[in-house]
Amino acid sequence: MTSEEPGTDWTCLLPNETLIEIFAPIHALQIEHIEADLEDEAQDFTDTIIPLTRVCRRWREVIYHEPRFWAHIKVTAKHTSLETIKQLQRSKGRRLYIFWSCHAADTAGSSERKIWEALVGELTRCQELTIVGRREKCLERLALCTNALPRALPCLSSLRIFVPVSYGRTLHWPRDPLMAHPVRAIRLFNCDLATIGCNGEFLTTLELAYGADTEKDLGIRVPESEFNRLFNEMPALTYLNLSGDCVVTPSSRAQFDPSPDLPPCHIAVKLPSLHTLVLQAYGPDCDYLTWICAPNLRLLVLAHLSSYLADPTSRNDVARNFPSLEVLKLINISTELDDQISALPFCFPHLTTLSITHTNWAILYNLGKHPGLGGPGTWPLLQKFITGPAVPPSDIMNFISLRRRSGHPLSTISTDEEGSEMLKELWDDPGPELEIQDLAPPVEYDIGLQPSRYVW
Amino acid sequence: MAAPATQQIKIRCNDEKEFTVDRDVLERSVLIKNMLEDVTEQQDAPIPLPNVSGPVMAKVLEYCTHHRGEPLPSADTEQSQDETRKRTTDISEWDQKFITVDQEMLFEIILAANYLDIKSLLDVGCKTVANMIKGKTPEEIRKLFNIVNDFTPEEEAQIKKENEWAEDR
Repeated sequence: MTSEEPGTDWTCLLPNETLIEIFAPIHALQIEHIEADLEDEAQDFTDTIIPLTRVCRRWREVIYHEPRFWAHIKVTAKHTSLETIKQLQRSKGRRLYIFWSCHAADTAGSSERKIWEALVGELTRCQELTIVGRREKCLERLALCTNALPRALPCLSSLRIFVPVSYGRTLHWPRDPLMAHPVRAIRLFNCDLATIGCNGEFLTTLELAYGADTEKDLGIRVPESEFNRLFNEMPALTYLNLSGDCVVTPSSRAQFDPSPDLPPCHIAVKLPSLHTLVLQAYGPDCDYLTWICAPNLRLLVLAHLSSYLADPTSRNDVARNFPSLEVLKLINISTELDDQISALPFCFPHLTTLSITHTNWAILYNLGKHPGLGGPGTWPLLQKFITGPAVPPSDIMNFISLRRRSGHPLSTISTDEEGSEMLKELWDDPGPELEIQDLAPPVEYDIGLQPSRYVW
Repeated sequence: MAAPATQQIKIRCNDEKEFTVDRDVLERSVLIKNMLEDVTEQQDAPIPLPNVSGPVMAKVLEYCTHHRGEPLPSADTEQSQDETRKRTTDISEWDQKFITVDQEMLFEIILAANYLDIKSLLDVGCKTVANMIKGKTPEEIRKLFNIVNDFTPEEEAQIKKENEWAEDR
């Protein structure tokens, strides 16, 4: 063969099914782009699979005839109803993942409405529905479309809605479709709690996030009776993520009262299947740790707390509520909470892993100097300690020494690359039983759980 | 008590090259596993593998030996196909070194994995090709794999027009 002769096209030897397997991870990148778009409205959407249809006739035919590449439908003002109809046809009855994004304050509302009209007839095969509307101008269209939902969404297993807080309070999601079918995962950003009037019996994943638009706008208010009713109807819930300004008000006050002297709430929620609880950036009026009883909880994540954690006098309640806790993750905790945080791990006797990241080092210092730490009964099962770059190696070494003296040495210290190098330099011989490693994979994997996606 | 001796199985490739391999290594291949289960009596004749050459089989056996004992992936279903969102192009360090071969061998390994039904090896091969494709223009892909552009200029213009909503934004 001379250098001028074309080389062999080995791809033509592959059967169509194998070509599809090659294209599948490239299609997965496209889904990642869509998901990223939900988080960051400035991102542009780039299709990764369409350019492959321009390589040759065979590739085009293979891609056009594989339904899974067309089942993730994104609706924006930039799409046309004709494209959506084509996509629906190519998806050939496959279950649909619909992402409807009203980011741009444009004038193409009628186009979106047409797309939605094309979609409504196919919603019976919708498995995941995500609606994002961050600007007021988009919300009229959102209302129009949600009202057009069919009464039956038999395949719907996941629903996500992101709207501005001022709109969320007035959005009344049609309950019938959700009540009738086993929706398993719901994520709502700024929607009233009453919105999730679904059949909680089958719900396994629930994420509720609230933001505050202005200083006057203090987020969502939920009467304690509604809070109790809602969560006590979720026997299968395994994952709960609560974040932001959700103010639970005592039943005696139907309306939110900005007075700091609110009477205590009477919250008692039992979630028997819950294994992961994520609490982030919540306000001083939500004492979730004492309200929620989860006897099988294995992972507790506390993130972005600045003003309040748990009433120090309620530690026994916290210990009683989470008797099986194995992993405690603290992320970006304010220094004002050092004392409360330092005491918190003592509530959890079965702790195997403690993770403190993106947080002020004083917490570890406090943990290290705590007089109870060296006692024989303190965290007898603790094996793994994960920390971040802000913690001085000397404090980590002090912590390791304390654990050794208590007779319960750690087996693994995990930190960032720089931290682990410094530790190894400072400490010639950490001992054969202690492994110092760079930041490891998410600790959730250690106990067989999936990492939390929406921890900031 | 001594552990029972591992059964050795003979296979013969399309170039008459023969290999004698531990049964558990060969059973990474669902095709061979099923063949062995169908044989009730022990036979000395080698199993013929008419679609695989000796050099390719040697590479396949290197992979199977390294991954022996690992759980086999479950059969593909619509649900697992729907898990596309979890699919990544990540490949472990050992697998990456293993699959660093020329294009001919890469595609021969993929074909062999497909024929022998070794899903994890097929995945490694497919992800490797996916990584080669990722981020490239159609023209660059054609050049990389020596694919002939069989569209007429009119067709090409039409396809580009049809799909411009998904690109350049």
